[in-house]
Amino acid sequence: MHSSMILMTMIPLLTPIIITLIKPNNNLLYPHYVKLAIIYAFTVSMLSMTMFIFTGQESMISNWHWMTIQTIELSLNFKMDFFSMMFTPVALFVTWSIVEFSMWYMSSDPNINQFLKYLLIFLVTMLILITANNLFQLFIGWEGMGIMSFLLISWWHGRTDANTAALQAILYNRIGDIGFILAMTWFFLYSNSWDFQQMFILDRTPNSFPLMSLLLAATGKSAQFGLHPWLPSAMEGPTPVSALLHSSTMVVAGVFLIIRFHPMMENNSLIQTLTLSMGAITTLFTAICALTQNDLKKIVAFSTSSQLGLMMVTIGINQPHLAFLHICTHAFFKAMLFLSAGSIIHSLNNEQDIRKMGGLFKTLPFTSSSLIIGSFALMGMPFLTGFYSKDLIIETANTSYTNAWALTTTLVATSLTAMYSIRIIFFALAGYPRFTTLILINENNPKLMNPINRLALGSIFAGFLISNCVPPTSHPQVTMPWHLKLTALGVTILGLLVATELSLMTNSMKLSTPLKTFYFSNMLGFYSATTHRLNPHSSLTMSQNLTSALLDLFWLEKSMPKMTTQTQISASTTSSTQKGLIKLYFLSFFIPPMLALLLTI
Amino acid sequence: MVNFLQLLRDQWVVLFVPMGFVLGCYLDRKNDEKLTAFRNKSMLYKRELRPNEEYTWK
Amino acid sequence: MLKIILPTIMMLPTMWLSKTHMMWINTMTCSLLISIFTLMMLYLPNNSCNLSLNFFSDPLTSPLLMLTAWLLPLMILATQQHLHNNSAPRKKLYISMLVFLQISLIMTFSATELILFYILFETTLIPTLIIITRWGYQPERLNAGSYFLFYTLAGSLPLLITLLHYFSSLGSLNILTMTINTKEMMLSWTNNIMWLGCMMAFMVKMPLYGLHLWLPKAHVEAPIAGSMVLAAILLKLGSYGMMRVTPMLNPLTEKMSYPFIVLSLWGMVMTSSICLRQADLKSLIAYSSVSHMALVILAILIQTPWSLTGAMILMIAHGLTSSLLFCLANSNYERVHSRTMMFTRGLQALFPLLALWWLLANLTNLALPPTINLMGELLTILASFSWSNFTIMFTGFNMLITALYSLHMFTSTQRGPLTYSTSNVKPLFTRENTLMLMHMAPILLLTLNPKTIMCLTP
Repeated sequence: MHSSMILMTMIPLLTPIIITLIKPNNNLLYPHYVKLAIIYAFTVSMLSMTMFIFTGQESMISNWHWMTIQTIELSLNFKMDFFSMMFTPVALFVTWSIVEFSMWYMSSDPNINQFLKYLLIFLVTMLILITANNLFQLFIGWEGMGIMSFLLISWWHGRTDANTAALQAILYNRIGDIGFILAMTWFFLYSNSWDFQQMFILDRTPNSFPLMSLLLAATGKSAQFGLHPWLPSAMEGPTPVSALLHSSTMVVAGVFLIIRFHPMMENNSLIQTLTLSMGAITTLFTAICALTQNDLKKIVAFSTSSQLGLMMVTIGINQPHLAFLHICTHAFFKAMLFLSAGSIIHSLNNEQDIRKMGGLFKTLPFTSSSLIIGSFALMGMPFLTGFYSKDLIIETANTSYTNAWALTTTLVATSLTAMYSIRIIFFALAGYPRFTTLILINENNPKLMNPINRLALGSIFAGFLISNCVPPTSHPQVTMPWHLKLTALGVTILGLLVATELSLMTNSMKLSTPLKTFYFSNMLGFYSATTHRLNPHSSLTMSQNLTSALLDLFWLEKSMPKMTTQTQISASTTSSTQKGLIKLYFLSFFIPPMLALLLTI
Repeated sequence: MVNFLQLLRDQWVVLFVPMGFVLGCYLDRKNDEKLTAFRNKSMLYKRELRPNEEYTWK
Repeated sequence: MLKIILPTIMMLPTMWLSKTHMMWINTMTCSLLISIFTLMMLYLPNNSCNLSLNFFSDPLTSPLLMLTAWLLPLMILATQQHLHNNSAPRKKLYISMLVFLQISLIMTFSATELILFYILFETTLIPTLIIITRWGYQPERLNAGSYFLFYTLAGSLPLLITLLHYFSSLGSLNILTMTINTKEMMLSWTNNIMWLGCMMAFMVKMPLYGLHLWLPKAHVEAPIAGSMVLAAILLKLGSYGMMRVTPMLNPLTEKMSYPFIVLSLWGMVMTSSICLRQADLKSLIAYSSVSHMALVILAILIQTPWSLTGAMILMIAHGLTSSLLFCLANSNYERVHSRTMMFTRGLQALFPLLALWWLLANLTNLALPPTINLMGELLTILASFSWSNFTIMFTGFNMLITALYSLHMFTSTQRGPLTYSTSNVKPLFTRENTLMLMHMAPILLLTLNPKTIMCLTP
């Protein structure tokens, strides 16, 4: 019963993909098929989720033996535990809204059917990743998501920017994949299995090596510091893509991987510290970058990156369930923020610069109110969705005896969250309009309003509902001094106040040249400027000059074939009597007549 | 029937390859029989001979 | 085995006697029929090996035989446009070269004697050389042909001498009894030279980095069928030979393989990074196959069950994938009339279906899970990782660069704005779509059931 319901969620999602193979003509109803399939899958997965919460019974489905490599048996294997059961409906719900939204957003695109099919394939790979019970199946979902993100970022493939952003995403993801492969090989060799259960049983206190490589994989996928630049660049894709892939689902795959492997990590303090520090650096750095961006989508993208860092911090303090809770709640409000941004951008004729917005709460009241709800949820306003996870995370971090620097960094980043969120609200929604007057602003389309509405409801209530379902095994400490209890809120309010004060000051102060610190933030910490110029340039020059020109075309060519010809030619010329001196040879014909002449005389 | 003959007259060249296959199968079978003949003598593979059957390998 | 060789020989009279307008159809049906016959190779009751005194097949040869037989109809499909302006006898001559190559390849893969194997190994050079030097596109084809011939010949003559020496000392060079018959080779100067003599022929053929110069030249200059068969099968002759010969060279291989493993690891990264800077589409694909074959060399030299399985899978996967890539490059070439990637941009707008084939080909080339390419690479990386942990630096880096150049190839040919030179082009023929599908279908089917090609080590 239970397992058949899981298949019932997976199979309907495949039908629209198969339809396009059988009947490839442009079907006007195709977007509705996609939407219906997702709604159906969502309903069924809700049923199975409620059953799971009621019974608390974890299960594992193993069917279709794929192949056997020596001692390892690979088969199609699904794992139905708390994480997969909870996240499947969330992912489906968010995708449902985003698909409906893109029916509005992409309605003028001639290839909208293909676009929705890509989104659906992406969703399927995501579900494969979530429900995978062995490392290989997880890898299928992992790579599939990478490729789908490549295709979707470069959806408007006539633009060079989109293409480079897509390649960049693949490059950074692939660096992470090296880590994944490394972990796969290690587990293959040392625990002789790719099944989670067996790996966990065999390695209670494992070597740090595979865990480090898993961390590298997660760094690539979840855009942690060092491998982060692809995420803001990925905003070249259409807004629904940014909403689905680069905020709510795909980028959390790295964090999800670490959560899956938590039974191995919980005893290894080195990995814990590494995760914590990396998460803290990421969350602060990207929050600083978000502060001075002017592109609406980029700000939201950087906030995503910052939240991913926060999730890493949570894993670093040994609270995987909390991190998972934050993944779930984050999906709702981040998707909604993106959809609202998409609505604004679409209404303002593809204008993304927040300096050219302003006063939108008069013209786009619905979108602006949802944007405000989303921003407040992101800040962790009490009793909105973000509060239930974020507040808990900060409290747990406060009460744990952890690295104080990492903790401080996280706190600063939290207050910065409030700053950039209020900056969006201040610039885009408040004040007076700064956009051109000849723009037809309209948000009265049900395909736009319904998804945002649903996600807004989710952003308000989902946190409460989901946090009630987290099993009590991992509940954090509930009693603590009141100053610790209020830190998260206090820091956020501090950020809010500073931000409002600063933005008031910008209106009254005279213009001055920006500080160096401003450039640091605005130029993304000079990271892209340095790495993206130096590394490709040096490696491409090396491959051109050293490998191609010097080694291949010169050295290998000269040393073998050319040298053989040279020696052959010189040897043959020296050894042969024929020198090719035709004139001389012909002249020699004159010798006998001359001799004859001489003799006769 | 006439159609078939017509087809055969036009496309008789195609028959070369199936013929080759049949011939190849026949030769392979013969070769197999020749090789399995060795087996009658071996301790491992030998079986009870039928009444009027002889050893293939003497 | 005669049941495959005889029909293939019979293809020659079929083709020469058939009417001009029926020639393509007849050869196509006949070659497809033969490739169906090869499916019988897979049926191995009681582990007997389709044995005869001269030819046999076992789990190592049968996938390669099937690949060989499958590639002939594909080559016939692919060359039709290229030979469009030639007269009928020339077309027939060209196809008879392909059929002759196929016959010699089948016999090479299934030979039981090493001397016979050697002779047939050299025989395959003749039709390939004729194909490259007669039907290539540019005057440089003569240069490419001589590179091809001399590299391979110079590598393989020592093999003949070594084999003759073995024959005189052992009395038999039968592959099946080889492992029982040979003595252990200890470390000594003569044995080292013997080892090199045996291996160099195959290393050149694979090709190993450093000895690979003939390959890009031959690939670039060869006509499409030549490129396909070179990439798909002739390179596999080298790896097949290595896998056959290494059992009689034990335990010397452990010691002697070090420089070659190092060279292939290094060369893998080097050739991939050359791919990043190639402007010529065919040359890029050629270098990518050098880099993939370096993985196969690595796997064969390590000689564990995992690595041999990995090598086997990688051979088949690479054969299909690189042949598909060459076909795609040829489709581009026939429309744009240039191999330079600068001129072929934004083709997705004109040929959406071709873009799909490009995408699939590049994804298999970069080893997307769950394709067999990934299984092969993964097993190879596994084996090399357990051999020495440091190899992961090279193999991992190679994975990264492979993904980059594959997608770079995809992006630069299919995406972006159209160039002005690509106006007024023909749409994609059904023939070409069929051709791509016939490459892709085996990859997908093998992905569903990889057991077919990995029963090499039980």
